[in-house]
Amino acid sequence: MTRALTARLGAALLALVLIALVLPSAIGAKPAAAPVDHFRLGTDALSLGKFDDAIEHFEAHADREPSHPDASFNRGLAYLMRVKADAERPGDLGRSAAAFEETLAMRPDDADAAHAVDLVRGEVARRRSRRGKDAVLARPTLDRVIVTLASERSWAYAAIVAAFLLAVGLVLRSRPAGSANLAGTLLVPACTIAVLVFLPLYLGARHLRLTTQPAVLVVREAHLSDESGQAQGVDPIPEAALLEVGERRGRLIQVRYGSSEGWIPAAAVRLLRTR
Amino acid sequence: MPRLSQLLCCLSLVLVTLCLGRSSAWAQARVEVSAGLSADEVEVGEAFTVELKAMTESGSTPSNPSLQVPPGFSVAGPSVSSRTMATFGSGGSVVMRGIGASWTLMASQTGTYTIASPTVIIEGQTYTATGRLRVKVVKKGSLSRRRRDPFGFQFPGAPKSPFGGLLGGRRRFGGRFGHSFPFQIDDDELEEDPDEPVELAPKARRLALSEEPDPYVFVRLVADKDAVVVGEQVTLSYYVYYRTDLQLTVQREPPFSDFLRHGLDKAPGASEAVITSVARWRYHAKLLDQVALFPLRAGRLKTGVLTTKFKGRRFGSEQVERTSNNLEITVREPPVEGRPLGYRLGDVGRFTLNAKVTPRATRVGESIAVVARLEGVGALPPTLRIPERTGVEWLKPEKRDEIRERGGKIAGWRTFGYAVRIAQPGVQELGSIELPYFDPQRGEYQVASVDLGTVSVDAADPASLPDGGLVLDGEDGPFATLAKPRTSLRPHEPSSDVGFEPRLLWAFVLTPPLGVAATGLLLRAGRRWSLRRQDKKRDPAVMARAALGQMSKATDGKDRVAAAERALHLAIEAATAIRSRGVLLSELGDKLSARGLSREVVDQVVELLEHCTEVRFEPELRTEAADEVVRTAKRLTRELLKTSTEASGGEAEAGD
Repeated sequence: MTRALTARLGAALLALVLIALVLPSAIGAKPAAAPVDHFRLGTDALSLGKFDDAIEHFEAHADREPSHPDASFNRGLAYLMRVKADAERPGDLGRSAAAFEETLAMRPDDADAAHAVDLVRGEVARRRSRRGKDAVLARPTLDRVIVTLASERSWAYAAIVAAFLLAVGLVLRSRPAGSANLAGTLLVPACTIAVLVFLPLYLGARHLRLTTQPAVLVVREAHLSDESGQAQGVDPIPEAALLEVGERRGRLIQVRYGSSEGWIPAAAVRLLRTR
Repeated sequence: MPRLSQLLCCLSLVLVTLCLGRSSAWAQARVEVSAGLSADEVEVGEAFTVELKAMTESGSTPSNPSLQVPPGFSVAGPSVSSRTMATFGSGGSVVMRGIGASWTLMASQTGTYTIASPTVIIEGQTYTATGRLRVKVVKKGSLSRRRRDPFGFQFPGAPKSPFGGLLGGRRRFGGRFGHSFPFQIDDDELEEDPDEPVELAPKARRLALSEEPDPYVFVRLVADKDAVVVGEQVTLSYYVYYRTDLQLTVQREPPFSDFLRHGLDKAPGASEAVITSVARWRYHAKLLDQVALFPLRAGRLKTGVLTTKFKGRRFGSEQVERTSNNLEITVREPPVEGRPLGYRLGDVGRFTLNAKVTPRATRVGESIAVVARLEGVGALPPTLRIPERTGVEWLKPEKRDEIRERGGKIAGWRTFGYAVRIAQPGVQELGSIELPYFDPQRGEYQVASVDLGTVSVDAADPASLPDGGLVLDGEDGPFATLAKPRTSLRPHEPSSDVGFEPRLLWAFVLTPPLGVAATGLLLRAGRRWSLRRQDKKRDPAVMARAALGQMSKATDGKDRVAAAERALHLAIEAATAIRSRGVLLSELGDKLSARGLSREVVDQVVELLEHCTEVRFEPELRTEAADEVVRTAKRLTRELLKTSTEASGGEAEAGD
């Protein structure tokens, strides 16, 4: 009798424990808002001029996979609204530029985003000139310019086409003397050179894709330092500048701006999501 | 008699007035203003200083120290510094704060001069330093052998110090403030054995220590909490423990680099000392000061140390330095769970918000005033999150506040006066101001909020107003040409450009040219092989062997002879490269000999060929004759072919 009672009490206790464990999670469980909802709520807030709410929703959207160029575009506008409303917080112009750059990274033919990012950088330059600071001209190095002319895949396709034409040239050159033979004689050296050019470009583009990431500076300006934090003494990087970031060590991150390379605080940059 | 009564009344009034004046003077906080000279005898052109020390218990800071110098003196200064001085005794203590001011003087003429005592203003009243400042100026060079004490100050009429011998018979500046209190501890009777108090009050028990960090006097920091959240108040008390008569001469606060600091004690050092036990010694523990600290970040934060200097008879002429313990406060962030939107780290306490909006009706472009008043306990946030929206421009607020200690907590109010410009007509909803904060007592988040209501805005010029919706800037603004926000998500395929696999690329790049090259080589090899094969078929030696085969297979005698003759000719060609069919038999022998064939073989060949010709034209060919021809032809053919092989081998060797 006592054993039966103990068993019942034990079962009841176990049930209570299970209910106590399950019930709060069941009650407290809220379905996470979908990215589309955040976009809708953010756009509504934006149209009402509630840019703080809009920013929160668009940032929440950006936190979720996959991102969308239109959401990034609206996020950039929300930051600009805050600038316009004299409620600007430090880094708003940079964050705005980052959002527009993200849009461009996902949709390179978005003319509105390209125009917007130009306006933001123009505003940054104007402010710098008001503070008596020179505009910073950052010219990328020639290797970067050439490698970034096309994507890694484009360089790969170009190399493949050049290799195919080289093969055709070899075939034509073996033909008896005539126009075909002449074409082959011209194709073979030209395509050999093309293959030898496109392959390094492919390798360079691949290296950049795997080891670097685009980012935008979201502080007023940043001074490049070496790994030990010693200032390099080069021109500071202005807000909203597009950077190439690499390795991160502690609180510092390696960046390349134009032809300058160095380390800046990681919190000073916003990494761009390109997909 | 009436005269006498009038006189008595007058005398009484005078006495009462004097007594009242005296008592009011006693009721006032004690003020001490003194001055001294660095030297009482100087040379012409020698710099000396006049020091003024103005100390008061009231807490107000003395100001405007001034000094009038006699003609013929040049003066520089004053150089002013702040000073704190506390004196502790067993029955009471005095903490005085004030300033020290010093002037550097230089005399240009000899003589004895009396310098008027410097003055200072304390709480609106002008005080003149006590003592006469008399200096004798002598000719230059007459004091050259005198040993000067650059730091010594003379106080006219100052009593001799018991340690005067050590100081050259002069009491140092500040010595006159070494008061003896009615409950002074008599150092001479200070026991060297522990004298633990028998019974301790609860507060004294809390202050009791089992170990004595420093002998006779030490300072200690005591916090009311050792674990708080970011922004929560920690009350830190500075205690000085002493068991001897002494003076506090220097007090340097801890740096509090990770905290926001508010003073709590209105009259530092005014509280009564508590008798407590330290390592079984009877100590007086006195609250020196109390501050409220608000941690600025999470972590194990250290307050830093309080540094003090004391002087007293027990320490001789030297000052002793005492540093306090370095307190560690564990600071964590408020819980993430339940954290409201817009909460800023550090907003901790208990607050209420109210606001006043005036006027409620305005015109486009004009401003209204919104005054938000934040009240409560805790560190009042410096900013409020205002309901920003398009068409409503909030200018930077004008802030006023009153922060004071209330029941040991920092509390008060702060007002934020905003000028708000409204750019759109109609009834405009201003929204609400919200301040999410964490209440550490309840352990939960709260939101102080106030609804600002609506404002009726009359249109000033409807034609010039924007057509609603989002306007990022005016027509001439930097962002005037920005596009409108996107209202829907247009179709977008995330880029699948994940690069190109290098192995695949190498395969695609190398295969076509290498394939073509390999195919070319194969074709060339095939052609060469084919040509070689064809050449082999035309080889006379091969053909000779074939003819030998035909010779064996043929059944007709003439055919066999013809085959034998053919085999022989081919063998000759293989052996000597002479096409013997076109050569007269009469000349053949010589030609073959010239090519290195032995005469015997040559003769047999020529003879056989002649025989073959004969046999072929016989009308009836005898089988025996044909067999003989065939046999001989076989033998000679093989012999010639053998010669041919040896010759080619020899050529090959020669070639090697």
